[in-house]
Formats: sequence, C-alpha cells, structure tokens
Amino acid sequence: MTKQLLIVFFISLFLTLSACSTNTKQMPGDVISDDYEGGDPSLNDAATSGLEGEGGLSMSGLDDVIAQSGNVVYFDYNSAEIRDDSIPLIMAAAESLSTNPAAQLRLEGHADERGTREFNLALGEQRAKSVRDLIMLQGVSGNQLDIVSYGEEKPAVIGTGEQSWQQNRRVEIIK
Amino acid sequence: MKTLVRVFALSVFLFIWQSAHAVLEIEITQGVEGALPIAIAVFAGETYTAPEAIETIVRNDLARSGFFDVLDKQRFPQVVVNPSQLDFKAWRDTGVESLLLGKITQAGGDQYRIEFQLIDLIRKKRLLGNVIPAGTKDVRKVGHKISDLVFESLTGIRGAFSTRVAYVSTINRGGIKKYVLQIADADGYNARTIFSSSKQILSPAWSPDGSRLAYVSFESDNSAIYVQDIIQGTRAKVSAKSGINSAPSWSPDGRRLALTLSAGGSPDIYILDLGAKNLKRLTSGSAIDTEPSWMPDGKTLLFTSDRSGGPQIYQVSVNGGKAQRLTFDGKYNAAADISPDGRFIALVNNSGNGFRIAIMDMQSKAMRVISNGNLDEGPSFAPNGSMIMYATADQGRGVLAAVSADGRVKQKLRLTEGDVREPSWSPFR
Repeated sequence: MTKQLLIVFFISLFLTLSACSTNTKQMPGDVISDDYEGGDPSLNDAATSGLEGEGGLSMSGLDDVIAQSGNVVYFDYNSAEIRDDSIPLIMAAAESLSTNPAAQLRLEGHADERGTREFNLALGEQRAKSVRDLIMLQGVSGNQLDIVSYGEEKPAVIGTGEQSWQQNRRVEIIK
Repeated sequence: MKTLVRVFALSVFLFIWQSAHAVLEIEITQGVEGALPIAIAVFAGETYTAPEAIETIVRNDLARSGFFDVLDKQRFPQVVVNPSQLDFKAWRDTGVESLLLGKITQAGGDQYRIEFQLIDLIRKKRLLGNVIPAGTKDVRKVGHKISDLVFESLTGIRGAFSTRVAYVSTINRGGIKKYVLQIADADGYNARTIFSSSKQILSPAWSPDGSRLAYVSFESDNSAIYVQDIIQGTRAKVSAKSGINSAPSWSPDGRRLALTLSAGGSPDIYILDLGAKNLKRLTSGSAIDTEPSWMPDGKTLLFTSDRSGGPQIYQVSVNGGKAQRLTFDGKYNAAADISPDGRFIALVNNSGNGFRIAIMDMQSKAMRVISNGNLDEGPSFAPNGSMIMYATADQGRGVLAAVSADGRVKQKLRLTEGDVREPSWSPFR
C-alpha cells in the first residue's frame, strides 16, 4: 500500500515537473501539434483506472493500459522530451518491469519524415532513451530494457501533414 | 520562348525514350541563359537506334549539364561528313560556335572505330580529334567519354559524365517491400543492384578511389555499417556496436571512416581506422552529433549537432577538441556535403519554407537556397563540383533531382519503379 502511494506521489510530481518544463521549453516558431497539445484526456483516464486496479500494476496492469490507450509514446516536433500525456503509459511499463524483474521491454524510437534521415535516426534513439531514463528512474534495471532506433524509416502512417507526422514521432513499447 | 520550345522538344523526346526504357527520367525544369551554343552533327555510319546512339548520348549529356545550348537537328544548314566540306558561315549563321563531328566505321565483328572532331567555327580551328575503338557493349561508355572531352575542351572543367551515382530504392512487389542499393551511370542508365534486403538501407558513401561503398544496413535489426567492394561484391561489417552505427564518411586517403556511434551514451562522431580497426572519439556531450563529412585536406570534419537547440553545422579537427559552429541562417541546417575544392558546402536548410538544399560559401558563410521542394534531402556534389544531386518528393514519390551549383538548371531523375533516395555521386574513375 505504501508503495502504491509512493508511485501515485511520483506520478503527480512528474506531471507537475514535466508540465513546467514543457511549457518553458517551447520555442517560438516550433511546430506543435494542435491535436496533442495539453495531453489526451483519454490516456489519463486509462491510467487512472490502471493505477487504482486491484493489487497495483502487474504485467497485466501494463496490458490493461496498452489495451485501452495503446503502447505508443508520442513526441513533439524535433523533441525527445516526454509529454504529460505519456506518463501514465510509461509508469505502467515501469511498474510492470519492477514487479517482474525477469521481464523485458523493447523501446523502438521513430521520427517523422521531416529533416535528414541520419539526424532522425539519432532523434529516434534520443526519444527511446528519454522513455528508458524515466522508466529507470523508477528503480528498473537498464538490463530489462532494449532500445532500437529506426529514425524515419518505419513510419506508422504514410502521408504528409501534421496528422501523419504526429503519429510517426513516437516510441513503441514492445513486450 | 526558344528555350521553352527546346525544353518541350527535349521533354517529348525523353518521354518517348522513357516509354521504351525503364531507367531514370531526366527533365530540364529550368533553362539557362549564356550557355555555349553547340551543334552535334549526326555520327555518320551510326546504325544503332536511340538511346544507344552515341550522338544521342553526347547530345543529352551536354544539354543536361546546363553549360550548353544544343542546336536542334532541324536547323542544321548542311549534312557534313568531312570537315573539308564545312560551310563555316552557314553554321555560324545558326548561332552555334562549336561543332562536334563524328564518324563510326565497322572494324570487323562487333568492333567499331569511333572518330570525332570538335571544331571551333569562329576561329576555324580543330579543338579535338580522336579515334576510339569500341565494342557494341562500350557504346554508352564511349559516348560519355566524348562528352567529357568536349566539356573539358570548351569549359575548362573536367567532365563528370563518365561517373556514377549510388542510391537506395524501395520497391514494392506484391505487398513485399524490398530495399535495394543500386549504382547507375550519372545519366541514370545501366542501373544495377549491388545489395538488396528486406530491411532498411541508408547513407551509401563512395570510397575516394570509387572501388567500395560504405553504407548502413538494418539487416541484423539494429543499424550496422558495412563496406562492400563493388567489383568483387565482397563485403565486411565494420561497425555493429550497441545503439546507432551510421553516417559513414571516407577520409580523403580512404583509410578511415568517420561515423556516428551512440554506444558511448549519445550519438557522437568517431573515426574508425579501417586497417588498425581502432576507434577515436571526436565529440561528446548529450546532444546529437551526426552526419560527419571530411574536408578535402583531411584535417577537419564538418558534422551536424543540435547542441545549440536545433540542428546546425559544426567543424571539428580530426584530433577532436572544441567544435566551431558554421551555420546561423535558418533553424535547421544538416547533412553537409563538401565540394571537391572545399570552397562550398551543400546542406539541408529550413528557414521556414520547408526542407531545401542550400549552398554555403565556406569563406563568406553566405547561404543560397537552390531547390524548391518541401522535403528535399541528401545533397551530394558531382566530382567536378558543377552539380548537386539530392532526394526530393514528387507526387508522393521519392525521386532524385540534380541542380547546377549556381541553382539555375534543375533536372529530375526518376526510377520508373519504387521510391529513390540517398544519392551519392561517385568520384572520377
């Protein structure tokens, strides 16, 4: 029970901290997705139900979150910073790994088609590392996480325009 | 108007040519004033049909270069076989200043003798006169060789028509995606696949002697760098560390590769000695450092870094140390390719109008945008510095385009099948 309270506390702390940092780091002229700015409420709802579930978050807790809101962490243009709307999913992943020390997750980083392929390969990795670092901050061993970047080479959606680009700027959490 | 007609005629010609041959299509999208007026007379005795005809190959090479204004055949004042029959005045009246005369004679079997002469019509002087023996297979090679000689004779710049281009193409066959690394002549003909995979291929880079290609392949799931001998077909995995292994760039002496590795924490620039197999780290820090490119003197490298926020071009010594920022115009500057003389860099720039190719003067740091797409990338200089090839999107498809270094002449090259990208122009042979 204490552990659960601690997790809830950390999540709140993170939401507050990252909300601050997201706001201060937006540069004038940066392209920010309208669709995803401020977070997707449905993701937060999903996280809440997951956190309050019986016996805390086990691997099945992560399954629940993924089933409800997907396994994808989305990013702003040219940024590897974790957004508020992704924290519940990342926390669920962290919790599942700490309760199952033998479990492994693979983090696949991706970028949208804009900019150079090599820079995007590096950006995809930075994104996967941002997710990994946040998971490790919850006490998870780095050995449980495998990272790979595909840059802009494996888009989730084919097409040009912010709708497609937003879906391609992502880290997929794969079991 | 004259230029438009010419462009139209060429387009029609290329369209017909295209229908018959599944190769890269070339389209001149912008003409140039002040080009050298030249006539390329019918190569007497030529029995091949287009596009294998030498005359056609030379005509297209010179027209595409942007340096020449090639006289339409319909405007020829006379049919010439021998220079002694030349009516200099009649030719000069059409506006041309030079005339290329050719003659092909069969020398037995499939062997031919290809003679050509380049005549200065103003000074009534022979500038070039050569005889080249050739087999049927060598026709394109001989055509490009003649183009190279004419180009150099009239512009003073070494011709790059006999060079090649390497690129990555994705082909979708029955729902199965294949990535192929191909090499074609600089005019798009003779494309051949040197490596094919169901996984992504990136960043082909020619060794300075043109015998090997370094590239990134995802065949073992993570990125790894391979070096392939393009003649023998043999290849070696030269870097497969954890994290990113990418952006190979050959040192001018061909002994080392600059590359990007992230095994040390974040993507940084390293130099791999291919003989001794040791690694030297040039950059560090948590920012992204990638896309290294050697200066021709081998003393410094340029690379892309987002250490100041967005990606910009920096310069660092081969011995490491503090890097100096070179680009300040625009919020995105990446993937620098350096001209053979080291005076200019071609790069991907975004100043708010999309990702375009720009040229920066290394001395004055003045930058000029020379392409007009929204997602242009991968600039690569021709070995004579006269043109830059790059990847662009055309109606949702990846195509290659070439632009003269002054930005005035643009062409699109298109594979009839698949998406083409990541061009790398070969060195001279």
